[in-house]
Parts: sequence; C-alpha cells; structure tokens
Amino acid sequence: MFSIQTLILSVVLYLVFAPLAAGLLEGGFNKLSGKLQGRPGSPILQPFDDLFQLLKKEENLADQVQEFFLFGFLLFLMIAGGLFFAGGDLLMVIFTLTLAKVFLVMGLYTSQSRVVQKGGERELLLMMTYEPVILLAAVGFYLVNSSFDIADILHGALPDVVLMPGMFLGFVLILTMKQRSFPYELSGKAQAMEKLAHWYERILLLGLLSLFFAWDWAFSPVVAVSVSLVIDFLPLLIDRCFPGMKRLFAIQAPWIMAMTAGFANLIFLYLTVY
Amino acid sequence: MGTILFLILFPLVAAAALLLIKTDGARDWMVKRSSAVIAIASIFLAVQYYAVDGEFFVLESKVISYAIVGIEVLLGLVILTLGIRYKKYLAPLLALVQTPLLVWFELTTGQRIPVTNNLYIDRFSVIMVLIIGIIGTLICVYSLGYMKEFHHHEQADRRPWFFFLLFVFLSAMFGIVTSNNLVWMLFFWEITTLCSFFLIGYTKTKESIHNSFRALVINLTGGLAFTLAILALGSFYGTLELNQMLAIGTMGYSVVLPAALLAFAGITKAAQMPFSSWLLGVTAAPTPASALLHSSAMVKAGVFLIVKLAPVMGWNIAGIMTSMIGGVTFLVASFLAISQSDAKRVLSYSTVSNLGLIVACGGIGTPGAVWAAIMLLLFHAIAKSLLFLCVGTAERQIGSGDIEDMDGLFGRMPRIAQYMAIGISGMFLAPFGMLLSKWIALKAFVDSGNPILVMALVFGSAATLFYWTKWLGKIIAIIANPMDVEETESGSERLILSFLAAVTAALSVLFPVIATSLIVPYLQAVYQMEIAYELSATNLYLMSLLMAVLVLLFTFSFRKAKKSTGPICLSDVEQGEEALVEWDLAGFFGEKKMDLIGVICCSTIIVLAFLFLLGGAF
Repeated sequence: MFSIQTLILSVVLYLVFAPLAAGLLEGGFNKLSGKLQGRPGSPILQPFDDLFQLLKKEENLADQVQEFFLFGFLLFLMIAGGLFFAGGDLLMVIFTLTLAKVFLVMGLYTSQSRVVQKGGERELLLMMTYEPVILLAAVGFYLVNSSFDIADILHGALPDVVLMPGMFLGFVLILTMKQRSFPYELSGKAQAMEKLAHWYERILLLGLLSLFFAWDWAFSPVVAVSVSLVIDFLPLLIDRCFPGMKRLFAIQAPWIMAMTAGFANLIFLYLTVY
Repeated sequence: MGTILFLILFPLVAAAALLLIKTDGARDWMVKRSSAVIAIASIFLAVQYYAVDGEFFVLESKVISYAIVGIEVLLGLVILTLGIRYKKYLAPLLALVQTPLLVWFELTTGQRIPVTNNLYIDRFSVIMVLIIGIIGTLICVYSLGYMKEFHHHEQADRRPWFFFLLFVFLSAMFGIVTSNNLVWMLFFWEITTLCSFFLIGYTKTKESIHNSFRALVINLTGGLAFTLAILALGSFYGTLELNQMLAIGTMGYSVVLPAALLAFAGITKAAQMPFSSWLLGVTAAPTPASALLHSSAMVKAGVFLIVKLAPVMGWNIAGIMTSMIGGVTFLVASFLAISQSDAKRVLSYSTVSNLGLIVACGGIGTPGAVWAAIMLLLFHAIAKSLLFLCVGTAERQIGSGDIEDMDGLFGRMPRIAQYMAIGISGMFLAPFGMLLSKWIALKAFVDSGNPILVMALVFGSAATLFYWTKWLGKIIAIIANPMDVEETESGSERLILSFLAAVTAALSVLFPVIATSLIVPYLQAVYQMEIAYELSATNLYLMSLLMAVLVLLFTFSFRKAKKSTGPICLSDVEQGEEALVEWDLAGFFGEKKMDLIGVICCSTIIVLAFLFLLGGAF
C-alpha cells in the first residue's frame, strides 16, 4: 500500500500534469502525422493554443445546460483518473469513467444542433462497444492478481500481459479506435471542457494500458510507460496502412475481439491461474 | 406470528370490502387507510424480527389443510370454466392434471407426513415483507387516480374488481414469503397466478385475453413443476418443509430433483426465457398493474424462491441449469431492450434481464451471489415501480408511451422528467444501488468459475448501459417547440413519485445499513460461517462521495442553468443523417431473431438438465 502522502501526491500530479502530457502527445502526434504526409505539420504546442482560444471566445448564445453536463464530464473524469492514480479499485475507476461518459452523452444530446446530437449517439455507441473490453480486462486483472486494487495489480510477479494477451489486444484496439475522433462544434467554454476532459481520459486510458506491463521490478514503470507511448502512436501507422477502414468495422471490431480473443483468454485464465 | 397472520388476512378483508364499495370517496378512503395499515404492520414486523436469525411457527390445524385443498379445487374449477368459456383448452388441461394430483397426494401420502412448522420468518422474508408492504401498497394508492382517469375514457367501470385483485395479490405475496410448508406456499403461488391472469385480462380486449391465457398456461406449467417437487419431496425425503429440504441438501444428501423442479417453477414465474413472453403481455393491462407485477409481486415470488434455494444450488444440475438460464436471459433480454422504443416494453425487457441476473446469482448459490441477488431484488423493486408509475403519468399527459415521443420531456414535464431520470439512473449508473449490486454480482460471477456467465454479464451490461443512456438522452434532448403540458397530478400521486425517487437515491447511500442489519446476518445464519463484506468500506465511502457530488451538482448548478433560446438550426439535419450509417441497431438486434436465440438456448438448457436428472434416476 502507498502512504497517504504518496497517494495525495499522485492525485495532484495527475490533475496537474495529465492535461500537459496529453496536450504534448496530441501536438507531437499531429506533427508526426504531418511529417508522414510530407507536410510541415502544426507546432507541437498548438493544442494548448487552441484551448486558450476556445476559452477566450466571445459567446453570444451560451448554453448553460450543455455547459453543465460537460462540466460534469470533466469533473467525473478527473475523479476517475484521480482514483486510478491513487491506486484505488479498478471497477470503481471504470464505473466512474462510465458516469463521466454518460454526462458527455447528455451534454451532446441537449444540443440544439442535430449534428451534435448525432455526435452524442456516436459517443454512446462507442461506449457500448468499449464496455465489454474494459470490463473483461478488469476481470482478467482480478483473476491474475486476486484483487481489483490497482495497488495490488502493480505488484504482480510477472507483467500481466504475459497471461492476458487476448484482453490486451482488445484494449489496444479500443485505444486505437478512440483516436479517430469525430469533431463536433460546441460553444467555446463547453468545447474547452470537452477537450480538457478528453485529455484526462487519454492519460487515464494510457495508465490502464500500462497496468498490463507493470510488475514487481524497479524499472517496470519505465517499460510500462514506453510501451504505452508506442501504442499511443499506433493509429498513425494503422491509418497509413489501412486508410479506408470502415466505420462499421470500427464499431464491431472491439466486440469481435472480446468475444474471440477475450473469451479464449478468460478460459485460459480459469484453467491456469485461477 | 400474530403480525404475519395479520399481514396475510387483513388484505383479504380489505379486498372483500373493496369488492362491495361502489363510490369513489369510500374507495379512496378504504384503499388509503388499508394501505397505511399494511405498510405500518410491515414495518412493525421488521422491527419485531430484524434481530432474529429465523423463527418458525407451528400453527398446526387440520382445518387449514382441508381449507387449502378445498380452495385449490375451487381454483381448478374456475380455470376449467374460464378456459371452456373462452375456448382456450391448454390451461384447463394443466389444471386437470395438477389439481387431482395435488388433492390425491394431500389425502394420501401428504396426510402421513408430519409438518412441524408451517410458517417462518427470517431476515430475507423481512426484506420481502417490506418491499410488498410498502412499495406494493404505494402502487395501490397510485392506482386510485390512474384508474379513475382510465375508466373515464374506457368501457364499464370494473374498479371494485381491480382493487380486490390488488389486495388479494398482496395477501398471497405475504403468504409466499412466510410459508415454510411448501403445500401452503404452492397455494399462495397459485393465487398469484390467478390474480395476475385476471389483471392482465382486465380490459377484456382480444389482445389482453390472449395475453392473460398465455400467462396462465406458463404459470400453471410452473405450478405443475412445483406440485411435482412437493410429490418428490414427500415421497423420497418424507418432508414437505422448505427448511428441512435445505437442511437435507446442505448436509450432503442430494435434493437436486426437487430443487430443479422448484427452480423451474421459479423460472416460469420470474419470466425467464423461454417463458418471458407472458411478462411482455402484461403491458396490455393498466400501468399500475404492470408496476405491481414487475416490482413487488409475482415475478419477485419467482426469484424469491430461487434465492431461497441457493444453499442447495451451485455446481449441480439444478444450480447449473438455473445460473445458465439466468445468464442467457440477462444477455438476450438486454439486447432485446435495445431494439424497443415503447417505454413499457423497454421496462419489461429490463425487468426480464434484471431478474435473469438475480436468477443466475441464485443458481451460483455462493454467499456473495446471494448477497448480490438480495440487493438487486430490493433496488430493482424500488426503481422499477418508480419508472412504471412515471411512464403511466407521462403517458396520460402526453398521450403516448413511446420513448421517441418523450423528446425533451424536461422542457415539457419537468417534475415527471426528474423522477424518471432518477429512476433510470437508479437502474444502471454509479453511484446508485443497482450498479453497486451489479458490482457484487460481477465478483460472484467471476468467482463462480463459469466463463460463459462472465461473458454474459460483461456484454449484457454494455447493452444495458446503452438503452438506459439513450432513454435518458431522449428526455433531456431539446425539441423545437417545448410546451409545458404538465398537469398538476393529484397530491398523493406526486407524493408517491417523489417518495420513490427519494428512496431510490437515499437507499443507494444507506445500503450499508441494510447490509449490516439484514443481509450479512441472514447469510451468516444460512451458511453458518463468517461472511466478509462484499464491497470494501473505502469503495462505499467513495460511492457516497460521488452521490454527494451528483446531488450538489444538480441542486446548485443544474437548476439555475438556463437553456439557450437561440434558433434551432434545422439546416444541418441533412448533414446529421450522413454521420450515422451504422445506426441500425433495431436491425442488428432484431426482436424476433434475438428472442428466438434466447428461447432455443434456454429450452435446450432445461431439456438437457431434466434429461440428465431423469437419466440419473433410472
């Protein structure tokens, strides 16, 4: 277990540095993506600039109800991430994340624009496709470590990915899909909160991903973080290799993965470690 | 014991009186007063017995036994005449098999088997009594206004009959949850079957009569299995008592045949696949009847029996059959709910799927699973009654029960929409009770070592998340010309809805109190061992914290938030259409297809299980 000081410190570090890290990742991602297409690409710090522009935007039609829901999205995401980095219970983190996403969907549904409402429907559909993959991964971690506590999962004898390759693949898949974002136009303040929340979410998901590579070894955090970063940039390659991947497939793929690789992995865990 | 007898007998007296009362004023008075009396008696019973591990009552009487046999014969005759009158012959046929069988057994073997304890009460029964006595009576009071309006538009006023049925139902439910003698339980069981038959067929339309007979046939099939279970228990084990059966089973002797038969009866009553169709037919009845059947009566009798059997379930044929049927039903019914747009049908499928979860927990039979089952049962009863009553009120005022027509309900009927939103959140979202229960269920499923159940839970949860969020999104969405059409509901109606909404939220925070005072001691008494807490204290505090944040957000921020009144851009409709080509879920999870899959899977499981049992016997 962590001491209370490390606990508070890690939460504070997450709350302060997650947006910075995610913004830098996004900037770097865009830059690299531009380079690969032979364009100069936007500056690495561009995402932060965008964020400030949004906050400064003059508003003539502020939609307070929408802003309320997006604030909820941001707030509950910060709580979910905070719980994760405090070493809390994995299911608690997942359920709080779901609560946050429901706020996002509500915020989009309450928009006056059909396009944004459709965006809400899409977010909801994606939520449904990710849910089994994430829950199944949590079950896997529980079977391997006999605990849902993140603090326990971090200290296994082996990196969990060794025993959970099927669940890991599913997780990589949803992370990759996630970044094919579908932008919708909101009011400046709402959009800023949405952007910020998505940054927090990205770091949280990377954190979840690195759980697969964490074990009781001093340098395991280095391994975990580097592998996660590599996977974070995977969409770049996938988009290069399969530019015309169908949207329908993007929605079905995580389920297919969970039903096949995830299920096989689950049976394997029952037969071996449980 | 006095309180139990009072709870069984008093609603009968009230029912008889209501059958005779013809004026609105007198009926209002009678229903409200009797409901208050029943609710208070239930709470009194809880205070009396919450600290008791389980108390049994002898109540030996030849008169009661003969009366029960006599009434059973009478019920059989009623079914016979009705079946012949409406030219539906399957139900009379079942009655013709079951009633003589039971009477013959009662008058021969049954006579010789000594019954020590006819009634009992333990903490699980206390929880059930509270659900029936409080939620059930609230629905009765709500029905007053609803039925007045209902008969305003529709045919002959048959309200005395309606309220008679409701109160008989309550009496029979109290009987089921306190009977230790299985012959008694079967008696009450059959009364609920008949009551629900009459409630479903209440409007006497062609559809409702068809639905009511389907429900009757299915529940009589369950009743027949129940009778066979009694026969098997009496002939092979020499007992008719539930506690004896459980004791024999936990001592290591196999009671798998009667357990499987009783579980089968529970599965029919709890509307599990392949028998779920009867519960869908309830939508033809007035909405309060649906609320009662879905939340505190009827289907809850089915899951109650299965959860009672949990100690003799587990890795035996009865347990495997039950948990697999529950798991498959949970999964398939969740997908079925996605394809629906009629609010009552969504609620119905959600009931079927949640009951599936409870049934699966009962089949797994471990203390953790039973813990989850009892919590699910409790929270489902509250949130589901709230939702049905909300839909009933909304339907009356906007003239449609279609979720598509609930667009922007927050603008049109702010109060009802709020209650509805609480009910919906209560069904699937952290930090509300159902989610806490599902959390415990997930752990129990994983620990049960059955990967198929885990997959069913994981995918079913995703579907559940989808259809509730979609509904929630609908009611807060924005429509072109919101008009406040909210009528002032009657005072008692509003009181009931706000009470149920408050309980949905409050119990989610207060549930550790229920866990420590009722669930844990109950499990300790049943399993004779120390029971660990299923959710750590830290997680409970965190959930309470989330609830506090939610409440604060909504009271201080949401209420004050103003909706922008800018013009609605209709021009971007076309752009919006393109965005979602894959949005054809109704096709993907078509009702017919999914239903067929569920029916085939579950029928196969049942047939295999019983073939296996019979193969073992001979």
